[in-house]
Amino acid sequence: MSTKIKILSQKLVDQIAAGEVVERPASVVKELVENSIDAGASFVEIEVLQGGRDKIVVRDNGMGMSADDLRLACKRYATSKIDTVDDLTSIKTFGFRGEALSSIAAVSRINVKTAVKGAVQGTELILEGSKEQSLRSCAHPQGTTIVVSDLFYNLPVRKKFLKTAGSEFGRIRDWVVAQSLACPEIGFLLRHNQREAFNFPPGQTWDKRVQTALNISLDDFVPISIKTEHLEINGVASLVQVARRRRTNQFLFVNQRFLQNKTVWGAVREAYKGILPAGLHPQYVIDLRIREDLIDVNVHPRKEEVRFVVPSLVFDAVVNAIRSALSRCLEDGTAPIPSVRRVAKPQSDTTGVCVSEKLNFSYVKRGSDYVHSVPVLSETGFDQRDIPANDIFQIGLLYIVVLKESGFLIYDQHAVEEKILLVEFIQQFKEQQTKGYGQELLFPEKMDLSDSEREVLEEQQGFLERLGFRFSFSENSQVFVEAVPVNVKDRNIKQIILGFIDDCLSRSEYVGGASLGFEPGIDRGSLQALTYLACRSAVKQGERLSVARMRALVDSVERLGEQGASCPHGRPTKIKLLLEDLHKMFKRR
Amino acid sequence: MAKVLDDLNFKTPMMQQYLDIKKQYPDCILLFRLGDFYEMFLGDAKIGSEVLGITLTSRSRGQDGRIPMCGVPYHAIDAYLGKLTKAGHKVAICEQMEDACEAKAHRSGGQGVVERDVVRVVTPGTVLDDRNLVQKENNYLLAIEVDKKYLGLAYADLSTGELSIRQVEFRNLEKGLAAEILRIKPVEVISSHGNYNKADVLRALRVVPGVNIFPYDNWESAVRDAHKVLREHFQVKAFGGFGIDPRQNQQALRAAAALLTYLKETQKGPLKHIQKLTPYQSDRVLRLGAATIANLELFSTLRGQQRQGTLIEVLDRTRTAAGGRKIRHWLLQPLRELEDINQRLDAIQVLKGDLTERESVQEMLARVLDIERLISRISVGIANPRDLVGLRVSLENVGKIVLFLESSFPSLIYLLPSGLIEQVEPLRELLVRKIKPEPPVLLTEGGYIADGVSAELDEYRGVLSGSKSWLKDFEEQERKRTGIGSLKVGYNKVFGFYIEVSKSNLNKVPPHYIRKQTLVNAERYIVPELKKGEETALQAEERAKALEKDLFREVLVEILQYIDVAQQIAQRAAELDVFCSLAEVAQRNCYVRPELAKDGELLIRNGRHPVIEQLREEVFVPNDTEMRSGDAQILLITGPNMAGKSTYLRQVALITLLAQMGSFVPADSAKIPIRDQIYTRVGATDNISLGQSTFLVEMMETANILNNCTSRSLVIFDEIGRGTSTFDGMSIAWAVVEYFADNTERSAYTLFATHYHELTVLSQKFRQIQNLQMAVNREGDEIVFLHKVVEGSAWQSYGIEVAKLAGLPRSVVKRAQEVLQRVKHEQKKISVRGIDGAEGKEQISLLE
Repeated sequence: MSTKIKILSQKLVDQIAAGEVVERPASVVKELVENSIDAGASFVEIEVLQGGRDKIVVRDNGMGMSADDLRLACKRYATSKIDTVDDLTSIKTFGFRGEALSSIAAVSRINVKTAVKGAVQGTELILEGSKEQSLRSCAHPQGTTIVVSDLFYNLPVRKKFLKTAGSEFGRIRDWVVAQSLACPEIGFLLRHNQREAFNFPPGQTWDKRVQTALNISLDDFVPISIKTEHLEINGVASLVQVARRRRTNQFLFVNQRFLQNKTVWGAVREAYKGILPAGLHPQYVIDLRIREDLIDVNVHPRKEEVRFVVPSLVFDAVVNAIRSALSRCLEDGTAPIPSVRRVAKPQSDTTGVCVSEKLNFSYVKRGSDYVHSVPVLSETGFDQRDIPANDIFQIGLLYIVVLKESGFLIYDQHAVEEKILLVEFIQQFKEQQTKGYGQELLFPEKMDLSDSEREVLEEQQGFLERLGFRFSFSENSQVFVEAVPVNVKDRNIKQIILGFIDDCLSRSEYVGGASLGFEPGIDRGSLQALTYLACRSAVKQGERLSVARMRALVDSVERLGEQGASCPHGRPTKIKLLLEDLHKMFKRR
Repeated sequence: MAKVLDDLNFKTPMMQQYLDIKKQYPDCILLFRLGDFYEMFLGDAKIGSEVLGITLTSRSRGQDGRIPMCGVPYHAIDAYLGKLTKAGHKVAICEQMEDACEAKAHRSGGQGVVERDVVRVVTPGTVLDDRNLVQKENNYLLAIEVDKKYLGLAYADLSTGELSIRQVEFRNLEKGLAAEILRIKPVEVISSHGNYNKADVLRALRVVPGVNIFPYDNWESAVRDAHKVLREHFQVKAFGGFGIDPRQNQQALRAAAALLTYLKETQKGPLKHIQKLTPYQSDRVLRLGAATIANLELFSTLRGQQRQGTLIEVLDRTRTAAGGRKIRHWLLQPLRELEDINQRLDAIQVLKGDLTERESVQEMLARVLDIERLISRISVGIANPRDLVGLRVSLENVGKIVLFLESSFPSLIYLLPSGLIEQVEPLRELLVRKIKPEPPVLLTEGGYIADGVSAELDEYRGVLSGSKSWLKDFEEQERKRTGIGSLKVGYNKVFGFYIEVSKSNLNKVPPHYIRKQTLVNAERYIVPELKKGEETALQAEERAKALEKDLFREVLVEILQYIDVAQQIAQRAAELDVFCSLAEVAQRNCYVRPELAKDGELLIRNGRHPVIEQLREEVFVPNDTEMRSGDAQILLITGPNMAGKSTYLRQVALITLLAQMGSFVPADSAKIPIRDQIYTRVGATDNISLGQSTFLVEMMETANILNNCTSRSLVIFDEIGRGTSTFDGMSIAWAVVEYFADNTERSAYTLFATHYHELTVLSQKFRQIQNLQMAVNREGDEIVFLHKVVEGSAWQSYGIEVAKLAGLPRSVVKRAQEVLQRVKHEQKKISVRGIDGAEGKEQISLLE
């Protein structure tokens, strides 16, 4: 009787297993770079062509391999990193399952060159789909260079399912950035299609690496730190004002490995509950060190996830760390823009009150809990030419209150300016058919954009140029803003453009439906984009305004008349609190 | 041209005026200002039309008949100047010295010509506007004086205010001068007729193609009292303050006097921004022969003269133009004082240590414009309002940098001490006070002097804005008076101000309205009242503009007193920029700090070639280098071509050069003894075009090296004796190697790359010689270049294998192998014993 079930050939087995490990180019990069780190490299260079479909090169200056070691390394289940089952439970290195090189070799053409310290000659091994093609000597300094070409050449289906080069590279980039945060002492250089994506120097401190890699200012973050008998957490968490609409810059490292974990996600969400408005996500980098026996690593074939033996330990620690950091006061020092300033010295155990100049609330400790409270009156912003006024002031760093005989007029500063700018933009847009008149910046503003951000900008370039923006693009992912519309020229251009791109990317339809309104002569898409721009350019909640500025805003919006009654989101720009209303509220009428 | 001019005789006063002026500048293209244009006439017009690509026309000049001419608009003159000077012409700019209306008032009969005079002569070496200058390079004008065996050179960059001199004692005038010309790379050279009559001089000048050579007619009178001329300009009693001994620099000082006089004549000004005379201190500088600069590919590649593939390309990450020029200077003149070098290294170390802070400094530097060139334009009097704003903004940004340094890099504050910033504060304040923040570019437009500077100007401006509101009121008033609600007051260039009334309202138009223009659905009128208002406005505008011009000139003069401190700030900011650039390169390319000593061993661990390692095609294999006077003074390197010998040689030279420049170096570690000269003798491209054979040139350069090097030099020979027959070549090479080994005065650290492996036996005779080879593996039929330097000598030349790799046809390769076997049979044996009777251990075959 012939059997219908057959034993799979070794080749096929290899390929199936390879599929588990090598899902896409980013997996290749991950495996190879982890090997480099394990080899003790101080510098890792990664070169990618066409998102990894054509070629991936990973070069390091680590220990290298002898010719014999090289041969073995490419065989399945061969590794230098574990010997016994016990080793499995106390994993200190990254690669351990003995699959990486062999898996990659099974689905690509791979060329490995390596040399150990002090060797005159290196060894070169060429494999194609797991078959050794040649092994010979070559020129190579101490370290290893691995070239992976034609990924999935023998798995056409999987090859077809790869996303665009830009998208695949984005994944690679994100992973390398994340990994670089865990190893600040190692230098990382990443290039895509001959363009340099970034170059992090070796030997950095953790702070500097976070700053360099994430391109953030640590002024917008608070350091988090907690230590219990089982674990230790260090890192940074963002303040509200840099929360993003998309999940960006959220990194978790468990014992120096970049991983995902649901417990920690949940803990972060819990920690920011009540602070973050809906739809916004905080940024954070959490470095968690925990005893090896409290984690289970062998969970995921690509080692991307991890499970905790006692999740609640981790959950509580993360929540506490973040919450206490947000309410702990930071030293002001010589930071150009102090983000949190000390209001009152915290007494021995009770209240530490912190007021953030940018946040419009503070954290107050009550018992063992943190509760946020909102101050009402804040000092007005300071302008040298200001004449002190007693009929106009700012409260909550958000509302402009104008005192009239008949009562109060209260304006939402952001809504007001947003509306004003939108009207101006619409005007400019209509007037200019192609390139609008803009104010040339004396020094172009430089912006580092990711590939996807750059794509959006290029798409929107025509639109923005109509308003008066001018851009120039350099070869290495840098964009220069050379001119801006006159009415936004003294603002933070970078923030405006980044925010605008963010909105376009997340296609937030928060200005949707009827409230978008209708403008004759402008298509819906452009109108949407104009509202994004107006919103991003307008003064934000939390910014201090001088008397002169407040008067100017009130003036402008009043001149708009009916048009100025509501902002593009559909919310009102102004409310009246007249004597009549007060009488009613006090139940006198 | 002069002769022709003499013959001409024009009847019209204007052409006569032209002729008179032209006679004073026969060797220049004369740009003659006529209204809104600069015109060229006669021969100049033909040249101008050709060079600038503009139409040659002719103008009837009354009794003078038709005269060829062509012109350019006044506001675009800079671009045209550039084209003319690039084509090698001198251009005399002749302006109208007074307004047309003033002239008419002066002379009777209304037939007067406006007074004109040449305000400036622009030559290739005296170009001043940014468009015609290369940002990161100097634009040098060189003056040469030759006398007996001394060559005096003076070179200046008018756009930065630099004036340097060098005196050279020469054995061969042509070589000596050529070397200097290659180093300085001038765009224009002036000298006396006498000097130009020397054939050597002319031949030397051909070395840099495209150099503009002009004889200076006034040379003799300019140099007659050279010292006095210089002392007067610099306001000093003696030259000691500049570090110049006049007795040692006779010819150079004469050249300098001629140069300065020439500059003053052409720019027609005192040139206050040329503030000092800089000598070339040859004992404080690591000398690089002209060949070395080319061979090491510092600024341009040997093949193709490009920038990519050069050392400067790798090193230059400066953000300012002045920084770019300075890093070139430093590369051309590495140091020899240990302390100075270490000071530079310290600065770089500090900046390398903090990536984000350093990047902040660099971002701020990017907001500093070219202060030196701005100052020069101000000094010569051709600056415009935007230039002044650029100066102010740059000074403010330098101030910000100082603040930043104080908090982030306090050890670098010596570069930009706050004292200096305080000194320049009055200048900044002056600029803030007197110039509007966003002025127009052209002086003729007005609107650049700030309010509150001159009561008179403010008054005119008041009148002007008053007129504007008056017009508004007038419009309102007429509307009421006539009852025409749609009545408008408008302005156009032809009629000036007018009242516009639509056709439907024509019946309401009062009788005193004078009709001026009819349109499709409206009529335009004027009234005397309106015209008067217009006149007031226009008059105020004219007066305001004229006043602003004068005020602007005053501001320029006021700025002059700050030239010195502004230039100092520019220089120091440039230095900071260079340090940042070198720190950035050191960090990105993983360089280390070299350890320098006055003398001793040279020790490089895992050294790399700074340019080639960046090419990234194949990973770079590093190598060690060890040199000592005892047993490793001379390294003899053998191995096949393409194995990496040349790269190895050059990387040793480059690492030494970088170290002495004060930069970090590409290696794991480096100990460098300070050298006085670096010589390189590299075969590839020689001046065949100058009619000299490869071998001859090679011998000349070798002679130069052997005669001039010292025990403190570093010498690189890449394949010596190649251009002649094998036996001759090998013999010469042998003798040269012995020379370095034998001669205690010339015991430089020397690296020889050679394919004459016979020379390797010399290591038995001389302890100082060490044999190294490029490791090569043979695997079956193939050879693998390992690029590793190992001890020992290579007997195999692998020539045929390399030829095979290069793609020589199979049949040719096979035949070559056959011939080789045959010749090997008939070997000739030589040995050291055979050569000079000394003890030799091995016998080697010439052709193994």
